Amino acid sequence: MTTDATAKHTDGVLLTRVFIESEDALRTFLRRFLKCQNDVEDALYETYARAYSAMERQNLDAPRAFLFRTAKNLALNELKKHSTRYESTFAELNIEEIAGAQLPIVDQLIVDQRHQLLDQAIEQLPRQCRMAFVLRKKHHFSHKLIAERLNISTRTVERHMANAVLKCSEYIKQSSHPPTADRDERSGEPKPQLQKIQQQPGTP
Amino acid sequence: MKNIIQFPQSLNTDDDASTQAAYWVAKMDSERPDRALFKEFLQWKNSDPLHAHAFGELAAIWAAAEKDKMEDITPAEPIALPDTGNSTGQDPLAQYLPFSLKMSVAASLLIGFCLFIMSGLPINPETNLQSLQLVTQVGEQTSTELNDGSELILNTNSHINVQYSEDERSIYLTAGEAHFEVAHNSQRPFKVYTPHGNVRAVGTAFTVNLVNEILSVTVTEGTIAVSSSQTSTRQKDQPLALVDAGHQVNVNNNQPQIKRLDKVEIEKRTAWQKGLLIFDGDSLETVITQISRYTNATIVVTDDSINSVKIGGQFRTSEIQGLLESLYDGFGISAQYTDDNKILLFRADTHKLENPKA
Repeated sequence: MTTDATAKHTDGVLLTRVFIESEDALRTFLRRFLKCQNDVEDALYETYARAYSAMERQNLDAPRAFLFRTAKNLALNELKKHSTRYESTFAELNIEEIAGAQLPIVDQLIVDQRHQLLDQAIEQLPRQCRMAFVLRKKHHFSHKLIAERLNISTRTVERHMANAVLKCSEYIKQSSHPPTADRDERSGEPKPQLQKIQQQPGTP
Repeated sequence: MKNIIQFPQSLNTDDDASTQAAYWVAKMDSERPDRALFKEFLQWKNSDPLHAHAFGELAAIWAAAEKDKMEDITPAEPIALPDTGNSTGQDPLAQYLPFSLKMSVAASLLIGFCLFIMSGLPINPETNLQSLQLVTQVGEQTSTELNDGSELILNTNSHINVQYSEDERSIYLTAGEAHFEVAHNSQRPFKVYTPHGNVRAVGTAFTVNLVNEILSVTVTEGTIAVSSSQTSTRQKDQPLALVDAGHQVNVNNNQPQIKRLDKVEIEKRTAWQKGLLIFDGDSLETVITQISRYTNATIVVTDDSINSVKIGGQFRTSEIQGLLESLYDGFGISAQYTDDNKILLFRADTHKLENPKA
């Protein structure tokens, strides 16, 4: 009865974002165990790909922790190849220390404040684009299933996703700040766009 | 509409950072990128700090859309199945109906009409009818409030179908384990149907477990009645047994066995509802049976002599890996992860001898 395309919630975007945030730390960690740069890059991909696959099988509550655990296991396998005494080294691998404090995946503040504006933004989307986006985001339909349901190609579904997220972002920016004023140069994180959002006219 | 058609099929480096980032968001969402695509993504991202920023910003919108209106459309986190082959199943597009009603009148009429045709069974918010299908994957748990105020918690790898009618609140549990906190309504009995027997309640709390291919019900509040699943309609609701709070009933081939549980045991059996596994001197074998329900990996004990090791402690169901790692510290049992999704458990000391590599 389970339609495997929808019964789990795969969010490659979230995983990719978490990966980007963790990339430097993961790289630094893997360099301790892998000698050549190519191996490090391979292991980085392997870490990401395994997390992605795991997410396809089950919900990942803590993708960041999963990424670091996977990197740890890869490093462990590497150690096993070269040493019979890996257990002792294993114990020394304190991954939490390396991973640092858990970062919030989504800045809750931003999300809450943008909430109403985002509703409006979604409603502005062209009809088919909106339906595709809602099926994906609210109901976790796979691209393939959305394509079947709306009788369009998966490439078109992909374009709808890109278009939806871009248009929503533009709508929110236009409705709050001028597009250039919302960037934190240092961290690259979007700055909270707070005060003005709440004063949007027409917000129910 | 023209914006959609103009959106590039492949990455166009003339586009601004946001447009390129949107391309990548859709790519990463669509399926697991292969090595080449992943490399291309990292190159793109690292070629300009603006790129990482733009991707992060769109990913935040992406994530926010997830939460946005969630409560209006689905009862909780669980995923409603499309169940396209079954007209009585709940159509996710039907859930979309209340959302569409809030849109501009013309658009909502058009779309709402289409959805009505497609779904065949739209939810009527005016009545207390409800139709809902929930599935949890291995390692996943979910809780939902039903529209009569009852609550259900679904444990790992379980399958449930809620069909509320005017005179009965019917639940079909076909696999796994679920806990129910039933809102009192004597006019409208709450019945859980399973392949191994049925449970009837009015205002109680109880857990139904089908994991061992029998019906096992732990009652934490009130009283329930169990009846046979094979009962014909003429003798329906003829109970096999009445079970009070603090008891567990196991129904095997219509033979009910009731036993009293002390507080500690009840806590142990219901710990999963808080995302916990509690062991107090259980054998490793028992522990593995329990934790195997929460992971897709097959756990293999390579050395029978460690099966009888007694394990105690509290673990999170989401942290099976951590549990296995703590076996090393506590018992000298190492876990090895294989490529075919197995976890091999062995005594760390013997393993060294068996693999005298390097």
